[in-house]
Amino acid sequence: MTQASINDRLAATPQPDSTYLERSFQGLVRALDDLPETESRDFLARLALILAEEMRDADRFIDAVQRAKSAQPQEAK
Amino acid sequence: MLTAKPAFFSWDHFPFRAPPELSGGPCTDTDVIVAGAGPVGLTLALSMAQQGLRVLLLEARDCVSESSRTLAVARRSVQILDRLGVIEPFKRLAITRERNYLYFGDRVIHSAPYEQSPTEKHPDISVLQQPWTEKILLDAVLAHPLVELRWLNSVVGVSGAESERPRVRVSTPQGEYEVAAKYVVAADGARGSVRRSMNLPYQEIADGVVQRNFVICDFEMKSALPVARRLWVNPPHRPGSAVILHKQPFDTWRLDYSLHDDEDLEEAMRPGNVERMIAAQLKLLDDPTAESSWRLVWISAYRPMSRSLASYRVGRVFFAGDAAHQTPIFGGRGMNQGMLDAANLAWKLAYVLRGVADPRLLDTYDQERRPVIVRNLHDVAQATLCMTATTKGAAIMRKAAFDLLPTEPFVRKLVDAFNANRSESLLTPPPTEGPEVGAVVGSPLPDAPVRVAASGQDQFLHDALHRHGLTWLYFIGADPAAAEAMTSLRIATQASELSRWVSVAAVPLAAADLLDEQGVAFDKLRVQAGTCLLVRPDAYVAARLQQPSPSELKIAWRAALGATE
Repeated sequence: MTQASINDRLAATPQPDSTYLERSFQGLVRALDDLPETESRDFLARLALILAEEMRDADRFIDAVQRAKSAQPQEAK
Repeated sequence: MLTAKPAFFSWDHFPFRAPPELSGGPCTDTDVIVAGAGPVGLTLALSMAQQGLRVLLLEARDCVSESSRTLAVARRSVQILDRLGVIEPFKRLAITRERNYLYFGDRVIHSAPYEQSPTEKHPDISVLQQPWTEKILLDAVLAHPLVELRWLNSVVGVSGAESERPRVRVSTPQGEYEVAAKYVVAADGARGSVRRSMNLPYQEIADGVVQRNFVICDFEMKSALPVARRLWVNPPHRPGSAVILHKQPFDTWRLDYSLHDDEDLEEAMRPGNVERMIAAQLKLLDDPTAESSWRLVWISAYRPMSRSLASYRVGRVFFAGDAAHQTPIFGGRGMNQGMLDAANLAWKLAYVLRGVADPRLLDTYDQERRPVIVRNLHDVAQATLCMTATTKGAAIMRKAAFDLLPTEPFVRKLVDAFNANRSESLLTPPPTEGPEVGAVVGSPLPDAPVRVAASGQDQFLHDALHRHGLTWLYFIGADPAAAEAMTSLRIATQASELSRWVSVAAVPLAAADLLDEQGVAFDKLRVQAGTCLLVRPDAYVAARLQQPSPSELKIAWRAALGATE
């Protein structure tokens, strides 16, 4: 490999396939960082509705709602 | 900085000996120059020397690493030490990490044992301070006639990387000299001169890189607590921080913790402040077995880096370990990935220099290792993001992840680097790996307990592999026809010092080298009678064939040695 081709490679390194979960998590982090804190709740509610539409499976979605509801807030003490 | 003499190690300092080149003597005739005698350079040198290569190993210091540094030695690294014949001194000193604890605040959110499968010869994570790992390798290197190790010889630059013999410029207490070799390997660390002299910048990898300082320290304390890694996220005495505590051998403990953006590093590293931090953490740990007196011995600082060179090869110069890539220390992937670099490269250099492999084999080092490193960096970056959560968005999502953690196992890999994906496949994209698929091409060979047919001795599959050659691992099961087929193939295949045939049977058959009467190996590797695996010297599966013909074996062999047609 020559120096010139190394420089080309530096400029165009393909990103590996991160798993869907990590990419989704980081996408949410960026979106929440871009919004004022007061808008976070409304944003997350809109997102949930969009994802319900994407899932097109009410039973699965409601099950997910229950799972999220039953998680106990882990407050740092 | 050392604040007290550590009890875990005693450093030997080696003298400088003026090389012949300094006084105008003939340039040392060597096959490979390795810059840097840390664990990666030592592994490379020893492995290549054991395969008949002359190695010139140049080290800027006069001793092994001067602090505890890497503690977690992963199974693959221990397998490398085993293949190099230095496992016994390692096992005498290392301890086995038993458990991982994850806390949010002061509450244990998740706890899991490290895998201690009886089907594996070595534990998932062994713990030993890096100077010891280096010394074990160093003793073997010093005893090997084909390695010349020059202390206080600092590589300051490399030129002619694309030429037949790259030239290395070396600085010593008595002046500078140049030496050349057919190949050069840079294992001289993140601040290495080889990379800088060739103007090769690192590329930042992953969005999750956190530019935050961590303080790291060692203290000595007797305690009966098990050998564990404990990660506190958002501890009460240090909100917004991440704190990690590990137990090491010799009653030594490692504590590292993140600083906030507005904290002054120099101030944070003052021994009094570090001691206060240790005291607060021990109070949280609430260990009734711990002695009340403990002793701080070492303090340092780091920033988690996530970087890689664009290529690990430029002409006849290769890069390995931190010289090639920098990994955040969470997840124990720095030294361990460097050892895998060394294992991948050493046999390839040896085979090419001995004329038994196509020189194109050397291209596969970068093609295989770099994607693995980049994938690892992305995997670890996610967990680093959760550990430190430097933005409000990250803090919201981290809280969501931790709220879900007790009931939703899928979250685990998001929040703790040690649970992050650990794909070891050399293929891009990586195939499915795991117990359901067994031995997969491009992945390390799973280990399994077997018995030597001739002696009845218990051992493991990896013990039977050719240490520096390729192994045909043929599973004959209980099928005499498979045994006959294997015998015919063995005869048809040209015998070579670089290859070894090992047959594994489920019942005592005449052709059996190893017995797997319980079926553990067959089940774990997901093989059957007639399955033939070609295993590389670095214990990666190069080919998986079923009832192969001689021509199929030939094709697999040539492909493993870099021939592409």
